[in-house]
Amino acid sequence: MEIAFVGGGETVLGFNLAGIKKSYAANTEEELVSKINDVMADSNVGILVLKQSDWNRLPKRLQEQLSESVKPTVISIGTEQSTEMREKIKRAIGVDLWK
Amino acid sequence: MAVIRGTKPTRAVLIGLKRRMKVAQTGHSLLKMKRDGLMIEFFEVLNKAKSVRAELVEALIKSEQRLNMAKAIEGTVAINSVAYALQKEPTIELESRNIMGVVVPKITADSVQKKMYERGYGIIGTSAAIDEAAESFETLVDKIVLAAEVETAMIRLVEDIDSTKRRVNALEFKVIPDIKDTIKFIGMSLEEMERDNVVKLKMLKGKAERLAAEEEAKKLKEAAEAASAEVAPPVTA
Repeated sequence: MEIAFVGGGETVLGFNLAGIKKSYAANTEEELVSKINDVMADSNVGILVLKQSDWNRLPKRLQEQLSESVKPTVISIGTEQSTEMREKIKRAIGVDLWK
Repeated sequence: MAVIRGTKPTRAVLIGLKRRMKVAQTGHSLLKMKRDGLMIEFFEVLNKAKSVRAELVEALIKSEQRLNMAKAIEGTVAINSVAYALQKEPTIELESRNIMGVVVPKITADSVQKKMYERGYGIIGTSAAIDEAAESFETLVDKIVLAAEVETAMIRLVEDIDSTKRRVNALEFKVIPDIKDTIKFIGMSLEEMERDNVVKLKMLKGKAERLAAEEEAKKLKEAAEAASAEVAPPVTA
């Protein structure tokens, strides 16, 4: 299986350098959504990588769907901390354990 | 006292409720164990996730810097052409693992890191900046593969802990007390009915005795009257 990346132009280049062929450039929101849907439909993709800033721009429903998905697994990378995970831990355990 | 609505205070219902109580208690203790087990599992994953996330962010910053450097030195076109020359694609193996009923992905990947001559582009034609950028992005991809596994596992675990906790609490604070109260209520009702019956029987018995006594008295009276009539002939004849 392969890794796929969807996101802004610069990072696509970097992932291309790492040998990831399925890295797609998407700048507008519509492009983002359609590319993500394409990747999700591709059964050969094991991990979908997104940028945190792009993730935050996605519609809530798609976010929900992506975080539920195991195959492929979706991960967002970025310097800013995702608040979603933190909230979830807080709600389930009752204490903010993340940092 | 919260009695389950619409229960009839009969012995059959009582037996059924006692059976349900047993099931609920077994389920409660099992779910409690599951919750504790998930918690232990979660803490392990949490520590891992924290360190992996930190490494990931570090790798990301570093690789973006290196890429910008390479772009400044070589230009986008050159980097693109190098990227097209790459042959080896990183492949991963995606399996699912089961932690106490929670399906989490298990990702195995052979390291993305490649030797310089394995990358597929010429060593002489490109500068060190591109090599560095490629290398740091390979490290980043390695970290991403790790993080993807750990973080997805964590989200799954958290979600399941949440729902298990709800179920444990619902059983502990709602279902089991309700059944307990209803069992008590039915027991009380049955006792009350028993007492009612005793009193009713006593009353009936008393009535029957009274009737019998009256009958006896009547018979005696009639017999006495008959006897006195035989002894003394009627006055008006």
